[in-house]
Amino acid sequence: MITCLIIEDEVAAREILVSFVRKTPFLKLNGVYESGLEVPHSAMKEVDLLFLDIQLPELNGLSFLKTIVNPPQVIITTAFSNYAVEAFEVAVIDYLMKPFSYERFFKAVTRVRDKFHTQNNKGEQFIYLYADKVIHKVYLDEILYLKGEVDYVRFVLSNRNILVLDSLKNFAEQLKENDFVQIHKSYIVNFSKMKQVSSIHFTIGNYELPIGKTYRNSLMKILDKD
Amino acid sequence: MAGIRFLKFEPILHVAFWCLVFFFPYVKYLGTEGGYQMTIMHEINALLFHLIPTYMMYLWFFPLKNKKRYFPVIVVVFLINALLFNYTDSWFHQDHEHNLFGWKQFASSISTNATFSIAFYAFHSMKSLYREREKLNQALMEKEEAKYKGLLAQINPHFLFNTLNTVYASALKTDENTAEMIMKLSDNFRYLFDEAQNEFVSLSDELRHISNYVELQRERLRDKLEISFRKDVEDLDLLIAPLLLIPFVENAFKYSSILKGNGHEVDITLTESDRVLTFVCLNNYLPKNDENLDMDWKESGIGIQNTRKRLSYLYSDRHQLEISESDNIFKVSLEILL
Repeated sequence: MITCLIIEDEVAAREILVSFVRKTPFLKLNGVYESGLEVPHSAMKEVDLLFLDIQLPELNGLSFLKTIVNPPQVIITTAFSNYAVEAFEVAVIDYLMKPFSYERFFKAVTRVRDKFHTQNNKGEQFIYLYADKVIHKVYLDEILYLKGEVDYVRFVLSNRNILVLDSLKNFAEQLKENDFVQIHKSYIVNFSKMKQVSSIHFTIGNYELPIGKTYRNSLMKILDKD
Repeated sequence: MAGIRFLKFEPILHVAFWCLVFFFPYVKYLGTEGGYQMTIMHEINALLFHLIPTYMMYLWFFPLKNKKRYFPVIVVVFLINALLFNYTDSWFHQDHEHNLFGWKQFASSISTNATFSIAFYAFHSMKSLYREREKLNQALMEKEEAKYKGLLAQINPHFLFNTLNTVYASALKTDENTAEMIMKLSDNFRYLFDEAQNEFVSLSDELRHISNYVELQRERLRDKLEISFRKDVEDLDLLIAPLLLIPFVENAFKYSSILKGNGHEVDITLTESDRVLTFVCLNNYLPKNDENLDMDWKESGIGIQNTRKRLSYLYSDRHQLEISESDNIFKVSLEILL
């Protein structure tokens, strides 16, 4: 479980965040505050994640952030982006522009979850995917391959497909620790599921996938290692 | 349109031209017995004395504002050039008497170089014409851009997005479809404020903006229009100038939405393969409707004319735009090499 705090002064924005956090299986809400100065010192110390608005009464969110010693992970929420560069200077994990969809929110918190997993140095055995307004818990072992489509990433599992509104690039990063290898601009495969491989095709399950020219060399290197 | 291509190939044109001049005597005597008698050195010498006055004209004299004033300089240069040429050329003709100040040699040298100068003047004029036109195009585009930025600056983005967020929160409680529409609208506004301010955007960002727009229109004109939007893009990371296609899409919806009755078609196809982007947009429309339309309504949006200008400026020799109207169907097809 990732524990979190919300610092947001506008009621509507707060409602959205609270409902989104509640909807997410791996998040636990520890408190909601109108301003950074209201947060008790001990509460700040205990949480893993902070949702922080920038335009706040009393003290601007980013200035407030600079006052915290050992801050938790931070996701900035704001209506407009003048601050983007400055926010990344204070090392926030993501930046949500209001209004944001649950998909976008989910992507940000997944990033936080990944960070904790890599820090704990254990490869995660499952991931959460948000698709068709449902959160799917997917064991990595179920996944055969991922295919990048124009707006979506298609997860091809042994018994079903899941279409996630995202780009393949984001998953390439997220899954590379777990034996997933990109073999083509549009394909990432679960390497442990390999059935056959030639210089142009990678066979997984009943699917024969093309190997992209630019990915061939790195793939061959991995094959040599095994 | 050919302007940039022309400027890019200029050095090649120059080299080709002087090669022709250089080899011309050899080619001319090709059929004759013994061929051309003079040595390569003789030709190099002659070429040198063509190059000096010609490029002096091309690089210095032609771009001058008051050519009259410097004309005497040119006369002197041509004379000295002819004199030096006569002198150096005599080294290669030692077999017979060579008159250093012979008027024939003078006239020959000066008239040949004058001919080259005239040819290069034509070249120079063509080049400056292209440059002028490009400058004009750029000025027009900058004016449009300033107008657009001025309009955008009148909107306070904090107010806009915070308000949209409030509406979004309330829609989330009651109607998810409305919430989704607000999200698309908001994403498109943000695109105008953020990404579209850059010189180039990724194809995926531009596509999402178009998709959002189409989806919003689909919702708005549910019964009236039969919308088909197909896309098949190989490389979503390719870069494209922002908002190039949306004016055509807007246009299609604009003119089909004012038709009477239901089921009018809007058909948009966007494909990319090997860096070639192909965009085809078809819609039903009624030509006679045009006459009764309000000018303000017609001119709203970025506009086709302005997009044409942007295309010819940004993708001068790398695009092809065809607009046709027939059988009450308006068709735009655009190909861009990204």
